[in-house]
Amino acid sequence: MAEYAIELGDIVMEFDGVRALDKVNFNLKKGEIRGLVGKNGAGKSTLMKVIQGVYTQTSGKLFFDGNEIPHTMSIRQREKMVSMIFQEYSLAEELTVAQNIFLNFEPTKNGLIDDAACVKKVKEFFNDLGITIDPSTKVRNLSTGDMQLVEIAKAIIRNTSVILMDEPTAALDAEATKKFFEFISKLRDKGYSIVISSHHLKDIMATCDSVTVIRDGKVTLNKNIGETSLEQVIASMLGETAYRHQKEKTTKRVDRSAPILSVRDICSKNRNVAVSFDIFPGEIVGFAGLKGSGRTEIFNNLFGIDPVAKGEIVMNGKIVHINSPEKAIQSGIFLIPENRHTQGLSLMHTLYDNMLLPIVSKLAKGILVDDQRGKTLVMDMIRSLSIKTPSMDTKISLLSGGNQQKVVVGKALSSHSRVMLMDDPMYGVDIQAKLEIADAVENFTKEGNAVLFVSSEIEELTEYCNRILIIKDNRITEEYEDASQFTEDGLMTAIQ
Amino acid sequence: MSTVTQENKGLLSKENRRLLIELIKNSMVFIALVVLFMVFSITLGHVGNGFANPDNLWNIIRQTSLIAILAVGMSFALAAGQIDLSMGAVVAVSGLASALALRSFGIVPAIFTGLGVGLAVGALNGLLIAYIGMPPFLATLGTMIAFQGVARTMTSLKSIPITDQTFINIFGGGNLGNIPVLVIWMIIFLAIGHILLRKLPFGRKILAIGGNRRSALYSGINVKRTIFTVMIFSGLMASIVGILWAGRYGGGRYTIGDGSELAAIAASVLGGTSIFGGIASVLGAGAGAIMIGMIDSALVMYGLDVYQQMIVRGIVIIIAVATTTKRGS
Repeated sequence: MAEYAIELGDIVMEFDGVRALDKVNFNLKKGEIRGLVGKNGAGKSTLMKVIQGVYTQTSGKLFFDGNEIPHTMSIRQREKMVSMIFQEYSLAEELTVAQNIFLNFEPTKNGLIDDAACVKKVKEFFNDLGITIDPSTKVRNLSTGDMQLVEIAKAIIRNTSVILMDEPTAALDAEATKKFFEFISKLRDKGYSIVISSHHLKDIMATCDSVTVIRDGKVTLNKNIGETSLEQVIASMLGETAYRHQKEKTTKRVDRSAPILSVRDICSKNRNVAVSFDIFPGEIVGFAGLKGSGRTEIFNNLFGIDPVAKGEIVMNGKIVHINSPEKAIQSGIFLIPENRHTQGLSLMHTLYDNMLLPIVSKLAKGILVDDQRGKTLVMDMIRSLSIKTPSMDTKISLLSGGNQQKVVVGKALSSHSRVMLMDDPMYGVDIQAKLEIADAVENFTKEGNAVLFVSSEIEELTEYCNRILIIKDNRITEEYEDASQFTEDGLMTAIQ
Repeated sequence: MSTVTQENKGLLSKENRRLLIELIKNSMVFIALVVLFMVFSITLGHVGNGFANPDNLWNIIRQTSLIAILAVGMSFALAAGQIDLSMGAVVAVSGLASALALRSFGIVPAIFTGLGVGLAVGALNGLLIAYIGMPPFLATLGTMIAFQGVARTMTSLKSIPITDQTFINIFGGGNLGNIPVLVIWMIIFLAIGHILLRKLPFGRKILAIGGNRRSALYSGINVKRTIFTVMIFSGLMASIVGILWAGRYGGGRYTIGDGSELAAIAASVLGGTSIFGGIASVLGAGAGAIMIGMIDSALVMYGLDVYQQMIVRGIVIIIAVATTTKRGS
């Protein structure tokens, strides 16, 4: 019996000559939980995929249970030794928990599926691990957190002892995340060996036995939890050259006499914690929080997707009742949604049609749409946002991600919004387009408007915002107004 | 450096070429219409008075005008990503209802009764789909079956003849000069539908919803209300066809409009409307209806019997749709 479940020896992974992993080493002891942390794009997922067998490493050695795994060993063969849990769910919602877990290898009796046996086996398995889910409920009745547990049960019930988990808590709220980490410590007690990546660093520190930090494809820290600290982990993630932003923007004179948007104790069906804050003309205010902290949910309240049940939204001194996006836009609030493909744009339609959709009713002369004026408007937007497109009649799907995002921003600008809610607007946007969007946002605020900004990259918050609100468990826990507080490591610690 | 003008130099720049290909694709139904017309005119030149003689052509257009008007309504439903299977049943019920009202109360009440049927069924469909959230296929399948039943029970399968000559002259039976009045109705409704879809905010919103319902919602469009209105519109178009149909055949009967919703879907799709929503052409739907009528007429002249005609018609629709569906994806 070998001491280690997995050993990595100088794993190098190159994509078209670009090094995504640079001589990565670590050993996973049996019955150990190892946290794998790093910023987005640091190489965590790539490393997991190399172990799983999706990618074949450019060089380096991989051992499972002391045996070297040849390059050629397929995912199917490796599946018997390691299971991979993704953040996307692979469960069939209309089947029961037990049916999902035994999908494709159902026990049979006389040639028919033995459902009773499935349920019984799953029940035993769950009892053993302290899971209270009923094996005969349909998956669609489960909470996201419970689905994740079922996903794991499905992966390990076939006796694999090593589990790789890539951001399993990304879609979970704080409570479910806590429950999840309790669950994996139980798995460890049962002898499973686990590698888990997560942005929930506090939970990683509390639950894992050891931690590996990756930065730009290199291991920057490899330690037992007892020998390190949250501060050290964050420092290793960000590196010595952590970008400390001292910006003149924060000294930009913001008129604090009257807020443009004032939110008073709002809560809703899907968010039961009251939240209050004020936004002043000219400000770019960042919401710093982990996914599931409630940042997107507050946007949904303000934009009428999840209307406010209690509390008040005050725009320019007037109370507004926002029960739909239509109402929100009429009140001067526009959302740049998280996903431009599914929420922001109609990909089959032209730039022109997409850009003018929010104001198509206002654009009517008599009863007909005034396309002459529409063309002038869209042309102005294309110019002021520097949208690269062959023409305004080009299908949106043919534009690059950055230019698509500019069109979404253009929709907000053309509808004369006063407050723009931007949910991770720079995601998947190239650097050039990022700068141009930032310029557009800057100009927007100079005209006395305001922006609420959410980003999955902390450094974007420090770069663009005048003020940052820390969101944790649906609450605003802190407020950073001073530019000196705008440090990546400081914020990263604050949101944990 | 916005590049709108930059890359457009030269008549056949990449972008212009792309737009030209798009234009040809979008005109496919009209091109096919002309090609088929020429083929039929030549190959059937010697049969009877020939395919291309004016009487035959007027006859084809008269016959297809009702389907064309129905296809206007269907195109709107499809454009919004919906479908209205109850249109044929509404044709029957509104035809019967207006014939009954005509007998007892006169022309104006007859028109309002007919339209009232379309409005009511459309509102019911809209309620089920937009506000209760039923899938449009199932909701309108349900109302289709229910109103087929209504059409059969309301007069116990009896037809209601129309003898009012004014009604017949205005709706369906008469001519204006040399032009059948049905053709004029068709042109009117094709024009209204075209303008509504292309030039009014309502049409743009419908296409946006069909293209991506979520992004339409996030753009401030009242998605539910718009879908509700679309279903009322397709119901109204069906009831207009019911009135015209009754006028043309001199009475209401439960069989009129039977299966016409499928012909309307075929005409719409042939005309370039996407069954998945977001892309639609009212004029294309009109051309699609005429094309189906032309093929039907030609098949008769080729000497095919009714059942053989059905086979060929099915094949034509499959080929036509197969060559055009790429547009949507």
